Amino acid sequence: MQAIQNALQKWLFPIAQKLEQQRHLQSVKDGVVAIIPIIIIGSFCMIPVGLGNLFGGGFGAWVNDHILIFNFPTYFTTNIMSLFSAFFIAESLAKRYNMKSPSMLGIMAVLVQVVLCVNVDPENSMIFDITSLGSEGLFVSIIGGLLVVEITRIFEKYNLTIRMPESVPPMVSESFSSLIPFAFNVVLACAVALLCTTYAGTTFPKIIISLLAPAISSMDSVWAVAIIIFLTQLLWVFGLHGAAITQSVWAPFAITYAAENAAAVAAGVAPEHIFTYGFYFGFLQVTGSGMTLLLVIMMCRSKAKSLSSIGKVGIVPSFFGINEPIIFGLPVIMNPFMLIPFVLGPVIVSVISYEAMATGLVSLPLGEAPGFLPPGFQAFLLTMDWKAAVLAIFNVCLMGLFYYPFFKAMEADELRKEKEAEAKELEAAEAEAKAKIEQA
Amino acid sequence: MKILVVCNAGMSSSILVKKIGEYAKSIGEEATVQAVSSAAAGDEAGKWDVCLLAPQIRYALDDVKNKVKMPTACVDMRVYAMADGKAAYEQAKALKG
Repeated sequence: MQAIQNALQKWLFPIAQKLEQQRHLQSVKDGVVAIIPIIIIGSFCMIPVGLGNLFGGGFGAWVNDHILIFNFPTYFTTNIMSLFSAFFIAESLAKRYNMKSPSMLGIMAVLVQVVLCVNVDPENSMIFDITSLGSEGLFVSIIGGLLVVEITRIFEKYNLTIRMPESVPPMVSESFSSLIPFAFNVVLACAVALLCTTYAGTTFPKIIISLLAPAISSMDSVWAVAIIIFLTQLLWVFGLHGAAITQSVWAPFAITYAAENAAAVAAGVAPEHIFTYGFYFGFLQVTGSGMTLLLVIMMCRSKAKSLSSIGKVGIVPSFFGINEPIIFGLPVIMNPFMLIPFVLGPVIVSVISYEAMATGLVSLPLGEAPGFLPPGFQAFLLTMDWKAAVLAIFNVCLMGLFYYPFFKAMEADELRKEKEAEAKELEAAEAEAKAKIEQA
Repeated sequence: MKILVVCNAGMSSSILVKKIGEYAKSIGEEATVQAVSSAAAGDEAGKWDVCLLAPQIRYALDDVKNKVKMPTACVDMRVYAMADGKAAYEQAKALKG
């Protein structure tokens, strides 16, 4: 056991460290996670539609008649979300490189994104086709956002910028120094966009999507979700933030799925994807990684003082999805009792949750919903289906069942230790008293 | 004493932040304590005396240290679990030197 732990620790820690230091991956993660609030706003427009479906009848018909009004904000949020991700990805990477004006690079990336994704009809310059600025443009924004920064860095490295005399105010000289890389990026983007439409007869985002299609769709499967959850939990066993580490790989996919679902719902079509950001946090990480709520309640009620004191610290945060006190306090880390339920339990839960949606028992996510809420709330807001809330709470209860026997074994062990410590104290006190009497 | 506490989302560290503030007040010392996410840590460069890192992202120690450009150390797991304001405050003081 110890040997396996040491070996895993030796492998996992450097991997986590490498991932964290990989600037591009981290910038993409930060960039796409930053647009979640924008997708949430877009998804909130689906609430009337969801309620209409839930209640049906006259209310449902009324919602349907006014669907264009309810959907209005989606045109400016989810439908153009890749503009925002382009900004955040480039800004984040520029910050990681300690470049002078990260927000300038963010704007540069937005402009490049517009050039690459907006299709202008040459016959009628008033018609802008912006459909690719939504979920389709997300992967383009990743490529564009990163390239804009890298290209600008090359210009800065070789000093290919306009330099002003020292007497020029820094604000003015900075805006000029970025002019050459800015112009180069825009011209390059124009060239790519025109080449695609002229020679390939399609747009750049469409080419990217068809190239990445197999990779993109393969992430939305029960296997991918189960593996991701397994890795998340395993990392936590070593005290490493599993969600934060694995996210740098899966977040761009999950957020694309959420945006595609939101776009489908807004268009009046059924959503297709299950594995969204909210699915991961609202169903598979409710009350914290490992879904420990019932475990915390067991701890609070325990006769073992060491367990109940930590349980009491952790109970309120647990309701809001924060369980670090439990993971570090129980601790879950390197704890042979917790290894099986904490790592394998959530894998079973993910298979159940995924299949519940795949079979149509529970509605699919409509987009994204706010997290860090008590169990069931995010699941409901995400799907506008009461059965989703039931599923989330069921998951927490099922995890409680998994924890129970292991917790009891651990508690017995803990009580034995506490008793031994007490007996030792008592012995020491008695010996002291005896010594005092003898002295007297 | 100005202490920055960094964790993944700035959520769990906010529990410790409250306890550090309470402890500092109880011994009559002035402390400004704030929690931020590791993604936002770069914006805090040089604005604080010391930076404490949550143990679950200890793999990011070098990265965060590089971003915040001030004395940075990881909080002990037990201290973090129990939100032990006293221990964390003393660690921050020792770190400041």
